[in-house]
Amino acid sequence: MVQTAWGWLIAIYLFLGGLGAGSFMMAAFFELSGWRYRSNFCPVALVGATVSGPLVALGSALLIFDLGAGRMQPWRIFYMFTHFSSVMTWGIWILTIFIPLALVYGFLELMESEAFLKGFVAARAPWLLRNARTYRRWVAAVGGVFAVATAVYTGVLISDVGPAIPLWSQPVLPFVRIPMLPVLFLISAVSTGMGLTFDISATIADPEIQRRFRIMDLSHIFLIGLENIAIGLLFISALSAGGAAAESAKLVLYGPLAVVFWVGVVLVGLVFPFVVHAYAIGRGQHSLASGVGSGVGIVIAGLLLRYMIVYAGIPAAL
Amino acid sequence: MFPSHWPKWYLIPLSLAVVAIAVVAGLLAEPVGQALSPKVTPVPTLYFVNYAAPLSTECTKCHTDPQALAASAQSPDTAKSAYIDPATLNTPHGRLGCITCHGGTPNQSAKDAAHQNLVADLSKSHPTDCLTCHRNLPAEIPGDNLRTPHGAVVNAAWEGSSCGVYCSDCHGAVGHGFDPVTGQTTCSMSVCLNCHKERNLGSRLTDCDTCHVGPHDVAQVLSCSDCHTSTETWKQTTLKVHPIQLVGKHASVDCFTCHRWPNFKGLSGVCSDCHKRPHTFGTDNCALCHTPTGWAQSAQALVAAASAIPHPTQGREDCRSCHGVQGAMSLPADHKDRTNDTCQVCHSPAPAPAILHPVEGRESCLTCHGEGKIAQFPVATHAGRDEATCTTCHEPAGVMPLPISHPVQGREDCLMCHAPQGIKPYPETHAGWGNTLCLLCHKAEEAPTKAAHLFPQDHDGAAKTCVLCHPKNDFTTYHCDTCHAPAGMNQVHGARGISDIQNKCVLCHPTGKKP
Repeated sequence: MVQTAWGWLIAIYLFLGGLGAGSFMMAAFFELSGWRYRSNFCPVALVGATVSGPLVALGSALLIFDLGAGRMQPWRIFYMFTHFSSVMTWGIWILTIFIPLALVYGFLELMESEAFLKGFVAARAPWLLRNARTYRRWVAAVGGVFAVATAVYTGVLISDVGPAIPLWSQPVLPFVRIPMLPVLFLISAVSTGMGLTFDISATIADPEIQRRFRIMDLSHIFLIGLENIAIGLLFISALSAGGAAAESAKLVLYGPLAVVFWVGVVLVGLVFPFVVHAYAIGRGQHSLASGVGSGVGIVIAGLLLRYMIVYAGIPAAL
Repeated sequence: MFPSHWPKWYLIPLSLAVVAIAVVAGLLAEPVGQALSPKVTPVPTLYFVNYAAPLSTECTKCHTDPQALAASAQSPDTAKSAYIDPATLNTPHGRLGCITCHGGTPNQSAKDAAHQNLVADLSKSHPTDCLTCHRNLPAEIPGDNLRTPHGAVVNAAWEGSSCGVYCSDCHGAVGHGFDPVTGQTTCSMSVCLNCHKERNLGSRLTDCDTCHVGPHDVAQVLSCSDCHTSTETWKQTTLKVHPIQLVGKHASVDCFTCHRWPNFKGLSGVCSDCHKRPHTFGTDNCALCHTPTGWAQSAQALVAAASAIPHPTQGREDCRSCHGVQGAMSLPADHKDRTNDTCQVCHSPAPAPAILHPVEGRESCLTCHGEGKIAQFPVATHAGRDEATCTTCHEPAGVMPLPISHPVQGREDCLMCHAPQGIKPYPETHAGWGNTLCLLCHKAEEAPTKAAHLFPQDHDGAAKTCVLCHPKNDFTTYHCDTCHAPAGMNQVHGARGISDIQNKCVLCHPTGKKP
């Protein structure tokens, strides 16, 4: 019997947390690498910085809503700030720091690209406008660290439930006792962040951007390869472990979650984007449809990957 | 793609919209994917969960060692009750480690120190602890057809107002031997009954249907105890009520070998309800030949008792055309509903003795055959038969009797020579027949020819005087010593080294001449 304590709300929280963190990482990377300044307007930085805070905040709200007690007595969440032996407390602190940083980063980025906001700030806080780039770089650097922590934490949260749910606590390799899910979720977070900010938003805003950043196609293929390896190792490890872990893997590979996995995750989120980006590398450019289609596929697959992992959790027999 | 005068922030809601669409698409696609996916039932399997087992080594070291317990316990009974079978430590709860449920102080070898803060029965002192892992406890256990009081017990535990029933009351052995994965008995029903009685819960709580969800749906006509005689297992039953008497093998089979689970319906009371006819002959009325004592035995008894068919059967396959239910050749009453194709299942053809004489001119069998006639027949089996029926069973043999190879005149007393002790006895088949029957079958032919007598009949002037060689007309042997004195013959032959010559003359002298 699969676990029933966590459902769609948690899957969406994990997805939004990863997507928000990945989007922030993309914006921060463009900021810190200087790529953001190759043109007057960088849609990757704008979207990455502005959507990450709301996405992670929305995800956290869903998490609190799912807790049940949070609905009736929301102040009880403050109890969770003091249990430092619990990974949930780590997560609370990471989110508490990351969400404001992301919102500030979004404001700084929006201020840079929107004249009306720039004028508003210039009138009231000219010092902020004068040092905007410095502030952005600092926020991007510090926030980037917390973005990585947020992405990793979503995986740590459910892997730490193990060994009660053996699938979630499978190690990276038998001799590397690091759980696979934080690694997989980090890769997926970067991939979905790249899909949302670059493939979708940037391509819609400026279809020619693909020509200027051709390395993004290679990056996608690299991430798809990494994600493939991580998913493959996760299920090989689960099948080898036997018991509830193997039953979970069977649910995904040829059980009730098989269509979600093979179609929703593998075909839509791995195979299709791989073909699209490989084709783009050979052709030297994307079409609008291929760029956006690849991004949408990656984002949807990111959600279904988390849903699949959550729903495939079979508790170990006591 | 979008007009250049649009504000750049349109990308933000656009991106959020894409995310919202992705979430909605995922929510919509998931049930479709689930519906299209193959359904599998996960097999419950054990997974090693190492909770407080490492902290419990000192507990298990002592409690699995009878000698250590005997040394530290206050009495032998206490030591005995404190003993833990090591095998039970490998059950799902056993693997959690003693400390998980019983508390105490980990890794203390000293008894008193180890037993500090000991919890004897977790479910009584901390009623909600079991519920930490065991959630959604079923109100009914369909596989066992049981209602459970889980709801009341769990609610009382969570509310902190004990209802006086604890997990350990029913599942007491769960940590020490009972293995829910292998499905051993959770608890004996007598535990439930005793507890109900002790609490004086009244008949309502001692009635079967308080806890048991009867699968049979026959409560209108039967009570549980009409069939079930044990409070420990459903399988122990007795048939106090049954519409027909169950005998033979029917008395020993399980109810649901014949009846349909669970409500006994579906039987129309004929053998074919359960039995499939393995043969093509006969009808579905199995009882014509079989009884419940056993298909084979009852049929074999019939075969053993069946008489043989005394006539050829070829061309006479419609037995009932002759053997009706009435008349001389009638069937027994219990054969009334049997069909032609079943006759030879029991009755085997054993044709009557053949007629050994020519039939032509002798069509009136009863002239000679019959009681007090020259040729008897078995009266008992032939009673009531007439001329017309003889050849129904008896057919001419086709082999004619041997002719009489000697003159008959003056030799009318056939038995003088052909009696069993005579010179040429008749066959055993002729036993009891008198002289009057011989000539009915055997006809005289011309007297044997001379060539038939190998030894010359005119030997040394014998001139066909038979009695010279065959004194008293005894043709079974010959006597040369009528003329050839034995003493002289012995002397002549002895001189040539020949001895033992009595009655062996023709061996060397077949033509009566000297060799």
